[in-house]
Amino acid sequence: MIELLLFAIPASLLILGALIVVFAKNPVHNAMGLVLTLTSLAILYITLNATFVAMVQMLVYAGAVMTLFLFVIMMIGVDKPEQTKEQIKGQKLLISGTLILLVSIVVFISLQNGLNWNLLFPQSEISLEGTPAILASALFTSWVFPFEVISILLIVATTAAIALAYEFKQSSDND
Amino acid sequence: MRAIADAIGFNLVVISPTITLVLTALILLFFTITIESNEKVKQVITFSGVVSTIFCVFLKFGLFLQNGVSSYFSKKILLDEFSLFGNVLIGLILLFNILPIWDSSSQLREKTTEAIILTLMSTSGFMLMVDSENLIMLFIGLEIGSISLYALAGLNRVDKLSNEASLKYFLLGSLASCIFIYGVSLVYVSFSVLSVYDFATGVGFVGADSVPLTTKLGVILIFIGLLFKIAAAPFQSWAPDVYQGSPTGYVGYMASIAKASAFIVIARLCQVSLRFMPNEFDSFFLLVVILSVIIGSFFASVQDDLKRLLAYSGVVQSGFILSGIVSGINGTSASMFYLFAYIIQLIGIFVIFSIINGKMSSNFNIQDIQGLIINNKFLAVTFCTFMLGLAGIPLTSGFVSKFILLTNLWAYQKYLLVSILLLSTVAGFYFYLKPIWIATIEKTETPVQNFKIKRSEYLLISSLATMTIFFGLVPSSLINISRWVVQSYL
Repeated sequence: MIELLLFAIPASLLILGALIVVFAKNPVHNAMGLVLTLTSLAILYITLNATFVAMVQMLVYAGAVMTLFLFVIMMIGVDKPEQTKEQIKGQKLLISGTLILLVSIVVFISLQNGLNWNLLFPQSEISLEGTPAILASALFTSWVFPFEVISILLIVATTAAIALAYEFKQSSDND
Repeated sequence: MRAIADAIGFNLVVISPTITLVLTALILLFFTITIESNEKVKQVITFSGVVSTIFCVFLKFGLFLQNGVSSYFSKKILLDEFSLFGNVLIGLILLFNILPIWDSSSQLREKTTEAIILTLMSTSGFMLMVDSENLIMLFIGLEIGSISLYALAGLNRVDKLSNEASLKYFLLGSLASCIFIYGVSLVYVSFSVLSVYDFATGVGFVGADSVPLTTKLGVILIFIGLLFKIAAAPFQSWAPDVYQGSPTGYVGYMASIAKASAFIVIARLCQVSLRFMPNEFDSFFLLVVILSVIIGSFFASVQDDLKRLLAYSGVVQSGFILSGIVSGINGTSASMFYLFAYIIQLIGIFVIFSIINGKMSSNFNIQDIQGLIINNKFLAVTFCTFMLGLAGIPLTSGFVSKFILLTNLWAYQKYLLVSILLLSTVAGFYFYLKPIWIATIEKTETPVQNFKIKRSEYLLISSLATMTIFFGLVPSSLINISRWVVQSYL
């Protein structure tokens, strides 16, 4: 039952997020839907015991890539005056209520456990596939050369972006 | 440390050309962002980097004599005849192209060094690509090379066509990369191999009949990704626009290096990985070859822009080279000869274009070379040499390469293919001889003016033209080399 719930809740949230990405009118809402999708996917990874992939998913996709998306959206400009108004009724109440609930749950559980933070996931003794140790041993022995070569790819991409995007003052006056 | 390095096959000699190129590029990058140095210093650094790269390729020959066919970095980098041939070819492409690329880049003022860095980096990527044994390694090399080329295509920011070319190349190239990496993942999922030799071993072990369908699909997707790079039909749609829009000084490099490395990789995949399932993909390749030849010939005949014409002729030539590679070992040898001869002619013709049309120009109408022979004897004669070489007229390397290829195909009893290729050669006479007619014979009131040619460009063009004639008169040296490339698979 718990396994089913652990799958069903993130999976349904994932589909909901994907639908928001496709159907929402406001670009910021689309981006937030994508955040929901990526976070639910990370939860699914954790239930599959792929903790490293889940962390990478959260840090890289939900963190860095989404920030970039939002940057682009903000730069193009969605902050029209009518969108700064509160659109959902009772939004402030809902947010503050959720926050208070969350904080009280955390305080309650931590007090219950005697301020010990080793809460829901007891440390596992067996090393499983997908853990950082195994990944690192593969990455730094047999795959070390492709791993290093990717840095060249990054330099190339950066140089190409600068060469294409940077507008020099003098190069525009020969036109 | 030593034990780990030995266990993964750590060897600096085998990747020394790449290291040299990357180091040169990084030194240039360092010079641009810190010290204000004049053009001369950068020029010396660049040319010494190119020369030492070619020296490093010869070091690899020494390693090959010592170790034979061997793999390094735990089956990531391969040292075999194909990789050596590819390294020599790519080194030569860089050497022949660095002059027009330098001249074009110096028109970009502040962006000069960036363009040179991108060129060197893309060469290093394509060198890794021809060296790679692992498909992931191949993909990384391909991406390093391609991303630099996407940027080179769009360096002329003030020209709309150049921007369009860059964007088109980038979008379609990314799509091809997606298809390629999807094929790799399908092969890995269904067959659990990533290395080209392991694939052959696996097929030999389970037998060609019990290879899963998913694997075959993956192999076809991998080939589609590579066929995109060589602009074989029906994956040719990017080529004319990219050739037309890109700055003329870079097109020769862009076209030749992508084609050379992709063809060598395709040849290795066909001869090594697929050697135990030889006739599995024949119908797919036959379709690609026939489509390339027909579509290329047809569209080349109706072009008014010389760069677009060359792009469609490249589609035809890709069909020719591919037909040899996929038919067997002797065909591959003939195709390697064809590839070398074609690359020489392609570079030469684009050097001439960049002189006539300006280094950073995009459009090049066929009427712009009217009466070229009146004021520019040297350019007209070498232009005719390269064009006749592409068409396959006797006394040029183009004739010898077509002759060897078609006789080999005839020996494989592919009569239908030979007749189609012969017909396309005849059609090729029309669109290759049309520019020659306009440049030399056609009467005109306003012939093009006299162009200033530097001494180094004289040397470059005349040596390329001499090679075209030389390999047409005395082809045995190059034939021996192309036999040596495939000797261990006979």
